[in-house]
Amino acid sequence: MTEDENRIIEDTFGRIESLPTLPSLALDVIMLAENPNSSLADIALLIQKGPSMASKILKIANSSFYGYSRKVNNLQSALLILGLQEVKNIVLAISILNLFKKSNKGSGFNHELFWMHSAGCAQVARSLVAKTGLFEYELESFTIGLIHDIGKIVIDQFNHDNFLKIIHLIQQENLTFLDAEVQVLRVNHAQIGSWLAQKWLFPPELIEAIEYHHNPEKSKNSQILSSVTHIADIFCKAKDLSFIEEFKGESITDNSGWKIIQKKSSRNNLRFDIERFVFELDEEIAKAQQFISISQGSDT
Amino acid sequence: MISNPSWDKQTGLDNDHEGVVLLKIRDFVYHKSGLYFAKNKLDSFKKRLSIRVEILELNSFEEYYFYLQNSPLGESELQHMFDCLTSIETCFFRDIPQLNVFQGQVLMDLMNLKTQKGQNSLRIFSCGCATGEEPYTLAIIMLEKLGHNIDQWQIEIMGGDISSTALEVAQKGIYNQYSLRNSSKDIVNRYFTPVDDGNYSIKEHVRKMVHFSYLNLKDESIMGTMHSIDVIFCRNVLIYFSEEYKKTVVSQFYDINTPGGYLLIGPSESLFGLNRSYKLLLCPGALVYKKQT
Repeated sequence: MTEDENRIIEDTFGRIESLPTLPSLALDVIMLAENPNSSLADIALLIQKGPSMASKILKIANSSFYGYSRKVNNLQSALLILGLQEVKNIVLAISILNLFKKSNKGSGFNHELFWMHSAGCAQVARSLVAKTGLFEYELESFTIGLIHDIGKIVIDQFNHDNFLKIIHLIQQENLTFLDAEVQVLRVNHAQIGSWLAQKWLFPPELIEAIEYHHNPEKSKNSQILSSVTHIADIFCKAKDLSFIEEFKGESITDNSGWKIIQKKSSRNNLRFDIERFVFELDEEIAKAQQFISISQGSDT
Repeated sequence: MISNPSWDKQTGLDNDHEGVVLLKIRDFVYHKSGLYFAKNKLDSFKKRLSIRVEILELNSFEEYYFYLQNSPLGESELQHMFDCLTSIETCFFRDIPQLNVFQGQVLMDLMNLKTQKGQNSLRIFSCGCATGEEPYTLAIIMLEKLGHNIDQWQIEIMGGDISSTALEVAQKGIYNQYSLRNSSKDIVNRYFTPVDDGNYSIKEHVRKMVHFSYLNLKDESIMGTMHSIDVIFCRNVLIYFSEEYKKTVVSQFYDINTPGGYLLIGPSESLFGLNRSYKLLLCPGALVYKKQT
């Protein structure tokens, strides 16, 4: 983003003290997971400090999200089965899902649908990279899917009047979300989201993927992740999974993000059956729904 | 998250042999017809198939799968199976998400395109219209959408079917309550008149919008007379044709479609591998195919 755009975001959101920060537990888990010397026992010890986190991880490990046939009884086995990176991902997801729980009343912003869309994107992105043979992006694509639109929540919660103006423009003038927010704020939610991710000290490739999830061809270092998120976003909207009606229909094969994925796919000899992928999405979305309800569930 | 066999648990089809066979038949059906049963629809898939297994007096799905592949009657069994898999008695407003896309994206786009070109005609072809519920539904949708402006448009809706008996019913336009199960009271009041025995007759102004005629997709002389169709509805018809024939029909559709026009097939159908020309568009709630402008 340009210096001007960065300044606009700083001026609008930079001084807000109540801007959410990642809980220290999440930060500690991320740090530990990045450290090659840390053991599963270290992580287990850390997670057990937050009892609700541990119980949610167990619930997720035992849910149809993973579909293990044997019951996972304790955190240590969950860590063994899921692996360190996967657990880090779950901790991050649970933390973020609980940061923005509350809805702004009468705002035209349905949080439940918003998170359904985000978790749907996360799951679809993950399935997409698996089906196109881009396995090394599986974990990150899930995370990005979940937080790609976080800028929209920031606008709703911390610049609410402008959020209402944006919604009004979409509904009255038939604009897309992107066009409407640039008209009102001169920046978009992708830029605001990446600015927040920067504040949260996210890894650079994730920050960049958030910023370019609507125009992946412009990304320099995170083209695949931005493309995957962009395409997963379209698939979810095609399944009517969206908190506002603004999607008019799109071709996947014409999409620049799709072309990037195809080029990098290790399975470029195979033609991807888009229709079949769409038919199978219901199942992915059901999994996402379950992930959300466990993550946001009560702490017992 | 890496391996996600979660559906297995949900449907109870995980480690049993039958589940594996059912998935094989599911993929076989997709390969033969383009008709796809997602994992959350496998229960109904199984129920419908078991009707055929019973009729043929076979003992298991495995035997049925073998029969489909190896029996000299396998080809004709395919037709019976497709009947079984797609036969939900047809009704007005069937597949609402798809009809919403027709009313929203498709009509909006076409009307904009026509207005730009200074044209005012809209031609819609309901291919395999059976007893007429689909073309009448499309007429009602257009009346609802256009309201008073309908007079500014020249609308033609054509219904074609290979069954003359079905077409006679369509022409009469009298339906029972069950065919109106998806229609709101408002719609019924506005577009139908109650007749004897709890049946309803479609009102004259709707009937006038639709023309029915005999259609055999394999008869090129009939298809050759068609042209300038803006939207083709062809739901659950292609599944009955061989792959080669499907390709021919799809390319015929492409020829009779106007540039920028649309093809809509059944919500569980796919043109994967059959279509080189249409562009697949993902719309909210449904897939549609669009001819290049």
